[in-house]
Amino acid sequence: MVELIHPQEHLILALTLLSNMKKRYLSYATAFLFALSLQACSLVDVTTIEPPFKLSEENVITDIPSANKVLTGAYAQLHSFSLIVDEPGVTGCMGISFDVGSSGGPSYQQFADNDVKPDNSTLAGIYTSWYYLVNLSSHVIEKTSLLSTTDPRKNEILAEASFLRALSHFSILRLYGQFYDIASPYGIVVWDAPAKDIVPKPRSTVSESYAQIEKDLKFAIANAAQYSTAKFASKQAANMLLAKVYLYKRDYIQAAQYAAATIDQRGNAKLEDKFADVFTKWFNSKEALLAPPFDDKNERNNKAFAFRSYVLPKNSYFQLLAGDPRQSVTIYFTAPPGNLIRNGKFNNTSINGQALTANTEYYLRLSEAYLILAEALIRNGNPADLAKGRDMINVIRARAGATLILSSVQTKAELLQAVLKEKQLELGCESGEEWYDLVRFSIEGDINIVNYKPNVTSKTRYIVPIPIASIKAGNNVVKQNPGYE
Amino acid sequence: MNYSMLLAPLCKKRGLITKTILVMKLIVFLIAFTCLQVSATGYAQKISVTKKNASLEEVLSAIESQSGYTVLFNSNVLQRAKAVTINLKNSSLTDALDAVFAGQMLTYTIDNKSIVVKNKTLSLVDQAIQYFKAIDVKGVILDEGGGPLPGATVQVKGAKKMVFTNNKGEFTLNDVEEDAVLVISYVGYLPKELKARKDLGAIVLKMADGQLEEVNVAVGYGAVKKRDLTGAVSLVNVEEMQKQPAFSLDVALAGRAPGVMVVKSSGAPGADASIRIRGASSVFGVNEPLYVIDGVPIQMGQGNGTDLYRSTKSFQISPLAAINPDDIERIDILKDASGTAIYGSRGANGVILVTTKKGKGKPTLTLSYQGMTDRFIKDFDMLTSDELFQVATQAYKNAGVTFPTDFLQYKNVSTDWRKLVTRNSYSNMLNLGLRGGLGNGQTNYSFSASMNNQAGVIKGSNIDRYNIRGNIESEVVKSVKAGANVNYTKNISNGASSTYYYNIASYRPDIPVFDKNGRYATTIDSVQGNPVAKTLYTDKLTGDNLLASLFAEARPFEFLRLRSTLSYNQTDNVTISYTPSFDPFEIRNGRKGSRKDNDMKFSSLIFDNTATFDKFFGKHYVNAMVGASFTSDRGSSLKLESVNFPDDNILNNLGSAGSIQSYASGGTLSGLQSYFARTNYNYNGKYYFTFTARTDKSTKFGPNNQWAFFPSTAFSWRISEESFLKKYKWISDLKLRASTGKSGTANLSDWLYSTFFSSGVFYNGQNGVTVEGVPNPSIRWETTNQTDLGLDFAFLGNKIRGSVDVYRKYTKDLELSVPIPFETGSSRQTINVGDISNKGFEFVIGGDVVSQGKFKYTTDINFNMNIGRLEKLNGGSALALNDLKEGDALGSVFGYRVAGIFQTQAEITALNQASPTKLYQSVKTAPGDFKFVDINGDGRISDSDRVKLGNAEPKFFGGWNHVLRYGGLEGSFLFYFACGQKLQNGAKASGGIYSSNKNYYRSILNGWSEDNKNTDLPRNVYGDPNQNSRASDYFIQDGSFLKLKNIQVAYYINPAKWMKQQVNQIKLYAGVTNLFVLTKYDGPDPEIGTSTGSGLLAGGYDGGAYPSTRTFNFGFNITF
Repeated sequence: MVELIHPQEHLILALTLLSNMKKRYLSYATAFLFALSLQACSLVDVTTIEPPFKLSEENVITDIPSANKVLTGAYAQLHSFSLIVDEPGVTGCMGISFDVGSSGGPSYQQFADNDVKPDNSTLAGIYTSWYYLVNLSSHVIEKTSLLSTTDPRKNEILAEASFLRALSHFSILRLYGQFYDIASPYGIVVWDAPAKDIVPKPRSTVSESYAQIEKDLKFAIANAAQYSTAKFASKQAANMLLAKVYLYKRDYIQAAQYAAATIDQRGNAKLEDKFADVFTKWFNSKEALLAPPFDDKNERNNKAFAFRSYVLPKNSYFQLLAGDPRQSVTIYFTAPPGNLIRNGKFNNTSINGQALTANTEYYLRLSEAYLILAEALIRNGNPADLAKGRDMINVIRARAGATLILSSVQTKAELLQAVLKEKQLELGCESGEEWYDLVRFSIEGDINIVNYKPNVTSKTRYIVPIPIASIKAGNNVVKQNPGYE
Repeated sequence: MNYSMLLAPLCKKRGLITKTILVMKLIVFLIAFTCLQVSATGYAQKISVTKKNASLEEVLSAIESQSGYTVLFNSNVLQRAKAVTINLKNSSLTDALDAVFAGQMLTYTIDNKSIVVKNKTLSLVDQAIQYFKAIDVKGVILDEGGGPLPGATVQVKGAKKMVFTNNKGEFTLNDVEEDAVLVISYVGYLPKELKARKDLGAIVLKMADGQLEEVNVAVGYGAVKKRDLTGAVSLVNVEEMQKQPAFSLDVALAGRAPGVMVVKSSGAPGADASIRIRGASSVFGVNEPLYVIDGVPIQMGQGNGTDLYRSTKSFQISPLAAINPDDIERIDILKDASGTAIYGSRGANGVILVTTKKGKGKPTLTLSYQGMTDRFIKDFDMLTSDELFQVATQAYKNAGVTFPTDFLQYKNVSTDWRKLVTRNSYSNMLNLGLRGGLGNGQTNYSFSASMNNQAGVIKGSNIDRYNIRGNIESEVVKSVKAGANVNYTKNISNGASSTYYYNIASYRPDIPVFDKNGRYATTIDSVQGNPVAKTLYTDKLTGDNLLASLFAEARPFEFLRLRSTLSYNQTDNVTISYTPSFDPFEIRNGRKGSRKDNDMKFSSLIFDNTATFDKFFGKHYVNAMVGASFTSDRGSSLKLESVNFPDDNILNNLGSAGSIQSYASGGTLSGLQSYFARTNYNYNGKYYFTFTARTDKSTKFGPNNQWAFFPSTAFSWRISEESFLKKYKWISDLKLRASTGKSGTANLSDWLYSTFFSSGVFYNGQNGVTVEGVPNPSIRWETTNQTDLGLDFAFLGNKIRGSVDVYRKYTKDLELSVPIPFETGSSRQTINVGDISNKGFEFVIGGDVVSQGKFKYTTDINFNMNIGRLEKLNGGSALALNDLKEGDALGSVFGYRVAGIFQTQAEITALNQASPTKLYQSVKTAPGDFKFVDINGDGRISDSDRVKLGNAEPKFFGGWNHVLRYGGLEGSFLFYFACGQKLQNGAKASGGIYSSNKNYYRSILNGWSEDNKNTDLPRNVYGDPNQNSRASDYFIQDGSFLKLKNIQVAYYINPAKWMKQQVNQIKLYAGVTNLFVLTKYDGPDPEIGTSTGSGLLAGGYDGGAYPSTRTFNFGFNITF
């Protein structure tokens, strides 16, 4: 007879038997037993299901290949529009190299005006995108560290995920937190584990925020593979990022130490012979320590297009480059009668014979390490360091084909101005580094920021507000930055 | 019998095997029923017995073996039997038995498949009385349609003796004097008196004059007589509805049913409509009602909430388009909790029950044809090339921007794009139907096929439907019924997403169709082709829909009905769009043609089992049903992008592509397990009670929140049956109804309650795995409590009839997409916050106004009011809902107030100086710009000066239908009205306010200037620095309208005069839809207020999508 699996089958069978008391009901019984056989599993067992094409927390990372898959997913976040267009775009607007283009709209304009409102949508996008990467890296770290394997790749995966988490935390800290004041309570919300429920977490102090970043980067330096490509995090990338972190933390001794390590132990990485080559080789350039790849398929991005429509090089920045060979690489003008200003560093590409409006984002570029080293040495201030700092600036100037800084430029103040200018020339129209330089130099008392950006009349304008929607959603557990309450 | 055992171990594996097994099981099921049917025909064999002085037992056993009937007897009884001598040849069973029992002291009865032998045990006195004076009267009471009337009263006139008819309308009244008069009565029917006689046979009661047709109303997993309804159910007059040419039934419902608001999405061919039954009950989910087509539930958006539904609308054809409106027999709309609770978690938005035509009696063949031509009700009036040049020159000047030297690329060109891409479309529709019954109604069948080719007014837009439907039902053996329904539809739609008419109209007129090289011309830097070129792009959506169901029903006892239904619904939507190589963006990107493929598949398997108990106990009637239902929904999607094709017209198939650019796929799965019960009780047709309960388990929720319980109760009281009202002859019927209960919504994405990882993001050519947001482990059901109070009435012999309802719906645990701390890596999540309520009033009244000789005039009007309100947010926010605050009316429309136009600079300067920020409005505000009202008085215009400007929900709406008949001539008129709703004229804001280089309304010529100060239109200025086009009361207009929605004039030819043999009836007709609209709204059509479902909640918006059309149609129906 029929195998009964489900309680409701018994019920119906009972009903059937009840009606089966007389011989003439045999036919109904037969019919219903057949109906019952239909029920067996697939028809009634509709709620014991597994989600299709989805992995649960338990089975997402079970071995090295699956850990690699999630790490790949984490890297892919570096492609997101918020990180590849918005962040470099708006920080460049806050700094001195970008003007807002037609698509940028009021949201970008607030950054250009150094008057960012807490409900700015771009602000929220950048913040969330970095935290998504924090969360996903934490998932990789948490689950990969539980793997029992002797595969050396395990530690590399952990190192790369730690690097990505540090990069995220640092990027958030320097934009949204008082990174320049180690004593400040206005650090960022720091995560060292995945977010598994919606529990608002308060901000850490600046010092605690740096501690987590340093911890992750030191692990990465110790465990990451040597540099071979800009597509993935390496020991060199971690070294350079840590040098940059110490520079922002105003720990110039360690900044110099890690910047020197980056350069001395650069392995396969090297400065391109020509400045212009960096921007035609993109992620393939050996000067790029971290630059995500793209193609004409699933990794297509619209960065070049967005760098024409959202932000455009500022005319005053074009003037600033006058006389420097980098001017013609960084900025060009369309054919008359248009004569429209265009960004030469991010200017369409062609991959596999396919014209793309795509370009990479240079998260870390080796030439900056030379300038970090230069600044850190100069700030350390002893004469030997000052000279060495000038030499580092000249490495970059020589590569650019610009005239070298003469040894007559030798005071700390002069050299600080020189390194600031050099960073602007080398890194402008790129990732907005010049904005953070202005803030840091202003904090150090080297410049008056109002001379560069007249709206930055108060220290509160050195950083942007935490997105208000996030604060509200967390019932004000996260404190807003001063001046934006 | 052992199939399931064999298959059981396999069942535990999923995937393909399960599917195969399922198919095999279906085959087994079919074979089983076929076998049953074979043996059933065996039972109907004739009896041939020849015996001499045989024992009764011997004869009966011979009959038993030949007939297949079981003979039941008590051996004591048989002792009284006499010997039988008999010679039967091919006799029927009853004839044979009558012969056998002739002269016996015994008699027999046939009960189902049993022959019961019993004593003729009557006392001698009784026998004498019976013999001389009294008789047992039996009979069956039927209505005019031949349907039984259970619960009718049969009374001996002048005596107390009476009985009620049973379920089949049968009665037996014992010991009635032979000359007695019986009075047979039934509420709503004319009583009948007749003389008693042994077998009265079938007695047909006629309905009281003007009485509504006594129809069964579908209530979900069953039906009740309309007069016995306890809940609020709208019955749609389908015959009237079908007079309106409509591609699908949702569109045709406009104005036809009380409490049902219908907003058609656009005038595009095959465009669907949004339907709100008693307001919206969900913000995040789909607010469309649940459709139940011949018992198969179909959810819009596939039960997956807004995300999938709205974002994929252009990739999916509405499942309702699979049903040919001509196949519909009836539509019942369940509105209150009493009706919807039986559908539990899917009933909160109301339920529309659609029953298709079934066969019956003599075979009929129907053939119908309809031809239609469409044109826009109202078109935009756009600038010519010269006018645009003049306006643009001024606009640049006003903005202080140098006029681009290359503005005019083509001299002396003025292209009227609207003329080039529109046409007078011609559409046609052909239906063929064959319906009938076989073998005295044992088997009924219905087959139909239709072809519907709808052409859009915009060239290149059309939709074709090919549909075939079959239905067969057979009483396999007595008390066992089985049947199947199959509906297959292919819809092919073209140009669905290239139909933003406003974009066509606003294309610059100074661009020619072709440039001098013979290529399609475009504006400088354009990323899109010109409108004529775009009509040549491929944008094809093919939808295949299969709706199949199989049922078996058994009645082991007269009062018990067991029914199992297995339904399967599958929709495959395949979208192919192809941008040819001549497209300017293709050229710029160095591509030779781009193709996008998008496949969406969805299937739903539903297994319903019900047991229904149905019995009269004297004046008490009980109908009870228990059931279990299992639903499994499965969806999948596939996306491909490919480029570089050798040829634009022929070799543009996927295989010809130079390369695949990107690919993606996805899928989802959900299960719903439900148990439900309903009891209907009534006492003497006066007092009615209904209780329903359903419990649902859905996999959309976490383990702790999967189950939900939805009870409801209803009571109704037929006051007109009470003695204190019975004396008022003018009251034909009066019934008070009250109901309350709960239903739910689970219309949201699957798998939100836990952390999941999926692939589909790429890095360095590798496919990575990422986390899907932050889970919400506590996500739970949205529940709606509804209370309804109603009154049904009929006066003056049913000449006037109608009903009134008031209701209140309160929805709790509303799902909203709510911001969460961004530090989690996600910015939003679906969380249960907030409550909303809907209160409303519905009124429907109809009457046979004139009925004199050949002239008849009938009219029906329905009138509805609904007020939706956001009650609670519990600390959450309603960003998804226009950021409404607690207490705000749903559908509130916000914007600035315009206080005229700045006439002088002095005015602006004064305001700027008075402002604390030294800026009142905008830096570049100049005379000729709108002056906005500073609502909060802080001296400047900011976001906080936006105010509520009205509500997108009408104050009242309804439909008014008229039918006039004179002999064979019939005219029908439907007026449709809505009053008090605000509608944002988005096309006016973008077409009537200058901002960039495109074309504008001709009205823009009347823009403000120093020479033209007496105007309400602001100045034309490049870039619109004052944002004159922002949402303001200038664009948010009164959308009230009165529309003559449909007219049809028909002539029914009386075939009696000719061809009577062949043709039953011929109907010839012609009609017009949207003949006129009375409105103050100055967009094309106020009825199209919204393109998606959220419109009625978040405020109506008319973006100038695809203007609605005026349709002229004509056709004929022939019934053979």
